[in-house]
Amino acid sequence: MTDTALIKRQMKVCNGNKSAAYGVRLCRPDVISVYPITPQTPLLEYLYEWRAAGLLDTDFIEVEGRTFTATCGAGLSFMFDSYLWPPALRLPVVMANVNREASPPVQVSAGNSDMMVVKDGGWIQIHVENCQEILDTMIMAYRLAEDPEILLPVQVSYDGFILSHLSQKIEIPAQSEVDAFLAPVRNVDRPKLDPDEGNTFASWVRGTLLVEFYYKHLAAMERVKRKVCEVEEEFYNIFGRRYGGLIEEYRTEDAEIVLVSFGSEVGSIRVVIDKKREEGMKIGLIKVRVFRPFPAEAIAKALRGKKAIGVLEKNLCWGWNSGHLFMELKAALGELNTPTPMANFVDGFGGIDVTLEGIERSADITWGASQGKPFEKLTWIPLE
Amino acid sequence: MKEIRLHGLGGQGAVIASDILAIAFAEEGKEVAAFPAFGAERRGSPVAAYVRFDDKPIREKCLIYTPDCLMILDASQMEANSTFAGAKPDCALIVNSPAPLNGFSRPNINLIATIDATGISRQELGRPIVNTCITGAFAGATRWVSFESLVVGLKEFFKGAILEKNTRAAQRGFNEVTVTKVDH
Repeated sequence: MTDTALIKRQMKVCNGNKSAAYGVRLCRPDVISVYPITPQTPLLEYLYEWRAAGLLDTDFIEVEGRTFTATCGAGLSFMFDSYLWPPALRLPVVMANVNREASPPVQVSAGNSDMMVVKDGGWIQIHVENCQEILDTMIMAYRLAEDPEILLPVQVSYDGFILSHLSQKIEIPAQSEVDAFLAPVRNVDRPKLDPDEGNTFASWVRGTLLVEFYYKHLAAMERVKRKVCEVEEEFYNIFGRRYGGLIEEYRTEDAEIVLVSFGSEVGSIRVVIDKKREEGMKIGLIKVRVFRPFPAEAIAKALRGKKAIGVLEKNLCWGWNSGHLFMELKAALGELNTPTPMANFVDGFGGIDVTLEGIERSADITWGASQGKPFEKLTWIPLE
Repeated sequence: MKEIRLHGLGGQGAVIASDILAIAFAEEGKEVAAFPAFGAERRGSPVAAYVRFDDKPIREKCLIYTPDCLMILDASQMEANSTFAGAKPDCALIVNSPAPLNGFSRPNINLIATIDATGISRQELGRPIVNTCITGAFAGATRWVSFESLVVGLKEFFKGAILEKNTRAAQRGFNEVTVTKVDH
């Protein structure tokens, strides 16, 4: 690769897929595995083009090194068996998941059911809000995945269409800065298949040996909670941007009620929070960035003493009459011992726009709940 | 923040036009957000695309319901009431039309700009892909962005002879747009 191919720090208008592709390119993966089925995203196509132009020194089929792959909706469903292998073998794969509804009937939309189906597959899962955060999180994901204390795959999810096809002005970091940021994991001892060096992989495991696999995996997941914050602090020192680590609190300090959400709609929720604040409502927001491991302690701390909680999401947890985030929050808040009214709002299915009005309605119902008004556990905003 | 909504038919380049405008605004230091209406892409079916620009970061991800400007790439979209829904006061209307719109009146549309984008695109590109011409007409009518910044956007999508042709189409849109102020 020539020096002229190295990226300099620059501002550029990019859609979500290109933002992800730049993030990946800056991390110089050795291997990109590709399973080009429908649905596919232009993310990998950008990487093919750069590879063809000599801008990316990556092999698309190999057996060791820094790796990347991307998937989307039904693609993620189809890879389910393979999905379970990288975390079990502690392989630090980074994968982009461009969220789409996984469940039939056929449609084209940005629900989060695809990632919810696999949330318990043992991966670290991070979900982001805008194009800059996509790029930055790709870079942080490698640092996290390849950390010797972690060695787990990271799935970076961003809402299909709403972010994948949204063009925003982003700052692309310089290659030299990303190289410096990733230097601590440059020579990490990656597992590799080498005929001359005997190694056992994915062998038959039973009894206490399997317990050891599980025990270490679970312990590594817990370490992620601290590591995410440390990695982001180092990222901030070099690049000047941060996202709150596990969760971001927005105007929660003196808030009486708090909305909790994740993904692209968080930006719209911020707009509504500002409007409601101007009208005198003491309302705040928690953005959940890391979904696995679930930041139960951080969320419980942030929500202590709040009078009502509204959870906004675009996925359903069959059998719980709620979304998944709502159910996770219920578990996380169980330790608080004070029954806080919690209302769940689902929206954004089937390409339905998550409007400011719908979010405002969620805020109003949550406020009512804090004042003792009766409310439904689950509100379908599109049916309101 | 200003919000622009583009209405056209699949194949006319509304989505690329929204990206060209976003790059042009970013060139002038603005924050931008450009995105298409999502669905199954089909040539010839109605499509919409959206552009926001502002001095501050743009956080909302919802569609645009109260546009400051409407860009109509195909006259057929003038028939639908939904095209004009939510127009803000002082909304600008940029229409692909060979002639001024006589007797046209819609609430809040205070500026009507017409451009024969189909004719110009046929002459300059040899085909009726009207998006680059109408971005030029937009810049000429609203002056919200300079023609030079628009060219930065064009360069992101076109190269060589195709870039030259599209730059000419945009330049003619910029020069030849007819602007009428409407008093309600």
